[in-house]
Amino acid sequence: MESILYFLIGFFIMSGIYSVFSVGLNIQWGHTGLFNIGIASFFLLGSYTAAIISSPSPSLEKYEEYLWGGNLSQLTLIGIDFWFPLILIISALICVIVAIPLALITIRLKEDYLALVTLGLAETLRIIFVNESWLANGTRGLYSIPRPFDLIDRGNYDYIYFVLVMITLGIVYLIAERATNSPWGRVLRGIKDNENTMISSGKNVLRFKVEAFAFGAGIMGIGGALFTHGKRFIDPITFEPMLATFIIWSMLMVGGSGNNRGAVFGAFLMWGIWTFTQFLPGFLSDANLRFVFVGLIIILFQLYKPNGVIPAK
Amino acid sequence: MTKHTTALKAKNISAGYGEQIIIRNISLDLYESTITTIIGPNGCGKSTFLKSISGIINPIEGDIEIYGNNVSDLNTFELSQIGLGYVPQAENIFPSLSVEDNLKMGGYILKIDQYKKNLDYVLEMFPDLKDKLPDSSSNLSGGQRQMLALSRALMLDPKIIMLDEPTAGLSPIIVDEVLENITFLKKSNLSVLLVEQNAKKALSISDYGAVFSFGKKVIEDDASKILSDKEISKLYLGG
Amino acid sequence: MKYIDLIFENKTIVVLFWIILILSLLKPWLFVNGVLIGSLYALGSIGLSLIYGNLKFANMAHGDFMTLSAYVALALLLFFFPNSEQSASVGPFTFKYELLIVIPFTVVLIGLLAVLFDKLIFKKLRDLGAAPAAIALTSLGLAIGLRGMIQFIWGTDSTSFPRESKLFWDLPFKIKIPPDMFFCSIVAFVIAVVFYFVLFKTKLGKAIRATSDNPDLARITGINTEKIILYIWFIGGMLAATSGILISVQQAIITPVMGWKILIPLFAAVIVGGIGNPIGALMGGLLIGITGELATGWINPSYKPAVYFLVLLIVLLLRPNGILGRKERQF
Repeated sequence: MESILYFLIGFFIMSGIYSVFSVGLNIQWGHTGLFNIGIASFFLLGSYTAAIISSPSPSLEKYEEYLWGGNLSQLTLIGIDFWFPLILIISALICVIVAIPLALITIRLKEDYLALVTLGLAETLRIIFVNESWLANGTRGLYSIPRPFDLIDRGNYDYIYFVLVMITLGIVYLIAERATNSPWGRVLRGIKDNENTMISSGKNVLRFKVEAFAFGAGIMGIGGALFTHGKRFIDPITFEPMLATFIIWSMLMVGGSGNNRGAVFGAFLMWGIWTFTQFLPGFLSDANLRFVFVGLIIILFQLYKPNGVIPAK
Repeated sequence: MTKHTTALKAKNISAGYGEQIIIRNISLDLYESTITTIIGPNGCGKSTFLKSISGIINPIEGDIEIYGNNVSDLNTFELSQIGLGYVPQAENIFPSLSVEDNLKMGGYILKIDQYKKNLDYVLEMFPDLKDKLPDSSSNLSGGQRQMLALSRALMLDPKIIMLDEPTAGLSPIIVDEVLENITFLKKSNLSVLLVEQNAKKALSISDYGAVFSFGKKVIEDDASKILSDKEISKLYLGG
Repeated sequence: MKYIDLIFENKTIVVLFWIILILSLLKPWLFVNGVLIGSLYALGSIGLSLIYGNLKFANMAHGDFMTLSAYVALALLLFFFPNSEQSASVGPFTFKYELLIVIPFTVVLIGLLAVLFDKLIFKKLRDLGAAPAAIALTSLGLAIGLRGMIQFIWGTDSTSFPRESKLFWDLPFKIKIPPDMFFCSIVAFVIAVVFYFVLFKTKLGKAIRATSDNPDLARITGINTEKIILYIWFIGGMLAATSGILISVQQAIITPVMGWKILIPLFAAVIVGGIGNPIGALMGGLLIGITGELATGWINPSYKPAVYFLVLLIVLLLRPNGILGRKERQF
C-alpha cells in the first residue's frame, strides 16, 4: 500500500513539474501564438543551471570531469535550506537571458522560423553538453544533486518534495494568471488574435512578443530546476524531444491553449495517460504507441478543438 | 424597351467577412448582351457583391442563377468553367508568370486547339500584348496589366464577365480605351457587370446602372436615366 | 549574372564565401564530400521547399516521410525479394538490383500517402483558415505519430538495405569517393533538373506557381486549386521518398530518427535558397553540405548539427529571404 502511495506521489510530482512547463508554453503559444518546439532547450538550461549550482564540486574519487560545482547547498549564509528558491530564480534568469536574443533574431521574421530556431537550439545544446565534459560531466551526467529542505528521512522525502513542487506551481500559476490578465496580457492576446490591428494601434508588437517568449522561457527554467532536484540525476539524454518538448505540447493542446488552468489540467491528464498506459496489457503498453498517441492528440485537437478541453475564461 | 434574357440573376445576396456583414439582401439582374454598371461610394459593398457571386466569399444567404440555372452551390473554378468571367480589382494577374503564361493559365482547362483559337482572338483584341508575350507580367504598366487581366478572363470565352474597377489608377486616355474595349465586348454578345468609380464615364457606355450605398442597392434603372437625374448626380456622381 | 550580383551585395556574404573557398582548398576532400552529401540534402530540401513555398507552412513531417520511405522500401524489398542478401549488387555500388525495382513503387506509395494526409488533415486545416504556425504544429503531431508508428512496427534499432561493401574510388588530393554517394548525387541532380523542368516548363508547374501566387485568382481562372494542391503533395512526397531512400543507401543505415535529425539542415537549405525556389533549395543543400563537411576538418564532427544550426541563424540574421532573394525583411 505504501509503495502505491509513494508511486502516486512520484506521479504527482512529475505532473506538477510538467504543469509548470505547460504554463510556460501557454504564455508563449496559448496567449501570444509563438511556436516554440525547443522547449527542451529551456528545460535543459534550467535543469543544468540548477544542477551545476547546487551539486558539490568535483572530487577525484568519482573520476568526474567537470570543472565546477556551485555547492550552493553548503552555503549557510542565507540559511540552511533557503538556497532552493534562489536556484529557481537563477535557472529562470539564465533561460530568460538565452531567450531574448533568440527571440529578437527570429520574431521579426515569419512565425514558423522561431520553431526552427528553437528546435536547432535544443539539438545544439544537447550536443554541447554531451561533448563538453568540463561543463557538466558530459554523458555521465550530474548525480550528487542535493535535496532541498532535507528535513526527514530518505524514505519519505518525496512527500516534502511534493509539497515544494506544489507550492512552486502555485506561485508560478498565480504569477502567470496576474500577467495574462493584466493589460500586458491583453495586448498579447490581441497579438495572437489579430496582429495587424495591434500593429496599427501603435503597439510595439516585437517587444511584446520578445517579452512573452522570455517570460515563458523563464517559467520553463523553473520547471527544469524543479526537475533536477526531483530526479536528482540529469544527463543530456534526459532532454530528448519526446519527453522534453512534444509531450508538453500535447498537454497544452488537451488542456486548453490560452488558459493556465487548462495548461495544468492537460499536464496532469497527459502525464497520467503516459504513466498509466505502462500498465496496459500486451502491446498496448509499448512505449512507441505513446508516441503515436501524443502525435494523434496534437493533430486531433488542432483539427477539432484548437482550444482544448477547458474553455478559456 | 425589349425584354432581354437574364444572363445572371442575383437574388437576396447577403455577405460579409467573418462577423462583419457588408451587403444585405441585394438582388440584381444582368441582361444578356448588356452592360450594367454598379456605382457607389467606397466601402458600400460593390466588390463584396462581385466576390460573393464568383464564390470567393460564401454568401450568408441568397441565390445566384446563370441563364435560369441555380448555380449557388458551384464553387469558384466551376463557375469559371461554365462561363462566368471575373476580373478582380487588384492582384488580377500572376506576377511570377510571363504574360503568355498568364494567358495560358486563363486557358488552363481548354484543349490545345481551342486554346490557340482563343489566344489569337485575344491577341487581336489587344495587339500590344503580342510583343510582350515572353516578358514577365510583373513588368507591365498599369494599363497593360489591366489589358492582360481582361485578356486572361476572355481566354475562357465567357458569356458573362464581371469587372471590378478596371479603370482604377489609369490615365484618362487609357480609361477611355478600356471603356471602349468593354463596349466592344458587349457587341460580341457578352453580358458585362461592371463596378466603377469613374461613374459618369462608365454609365455613359452602359445600358443599366445600379447604385449601392452602405451595403444596400438603392437605385436600379436605365443608365441614361441615372445620368440625367439631377438628385443622383449630386449624391453619387459628383455633381 | 544576375544571381551572382545579388549574392555579393552583402559584404558579410562575400567574406563567408572566401572563408569557404579557402577552407575548401586546404582540405579538398571535405569539399567534395560536402558537395556529394549536399546534393542529397538538396533533394530533400527541394521537396520541402515546394510544400513550404506553395502551401505556405513548414512541414515538420517531411523528415519522417523520408524515414518512412526507407523503411517501406526495405519492407517491400524483403517481402518480394527475400533472397536479396545473396543476389548481386549493381556494379561498383553497394546496393542490389532488386532495390532499383522497389524504389519507384515506394516513391509512388509515399506520394499517395502524402496526398492522403492532405485529404485527412491539411485540407481541413486550410478550410478552417488555420494560421501557418497552427498547420506547422499539426504537422509536428504528424511527425511524432509517424515516428511512433515506425518504431512500433520496426523497432528502435537501426537496420540497413542488403548491401555489399565496395571499395571507395581513390582520387588525387586525398579525395575518396564512395561510389554509392556518387550515384546518389547524380540521381539527385537529375531529379532536381527534371523537377525544375516540370515546375517551369509544364502547364501543371505553371498552375502550381499560379496557385502559389494567388489561390483566389487561380480559382477565378478556372484552375481546380484543390487538385493542384494534391499534386503538390504528391510530388513533394515523392521527392521526400527518393531522398530518404538515397540517403539511407548512401549512409548504409536506416534509423527511425534519420529524417527528423536532418530536418534542421533541410530547413536551413530551404531558407538559404529562398522558400519556394527549387534552384535555391538545390544551392542551399549544397551549401549546407559543404559547410557541414568543411567544419568537421577543424572542429569535433559531433558538432555538425550545431554547424547547421549556426548557418540557419546566420542566414536568418543576414538574408531571411534567402541568398537568392532580396535583402528586405519579410513580415
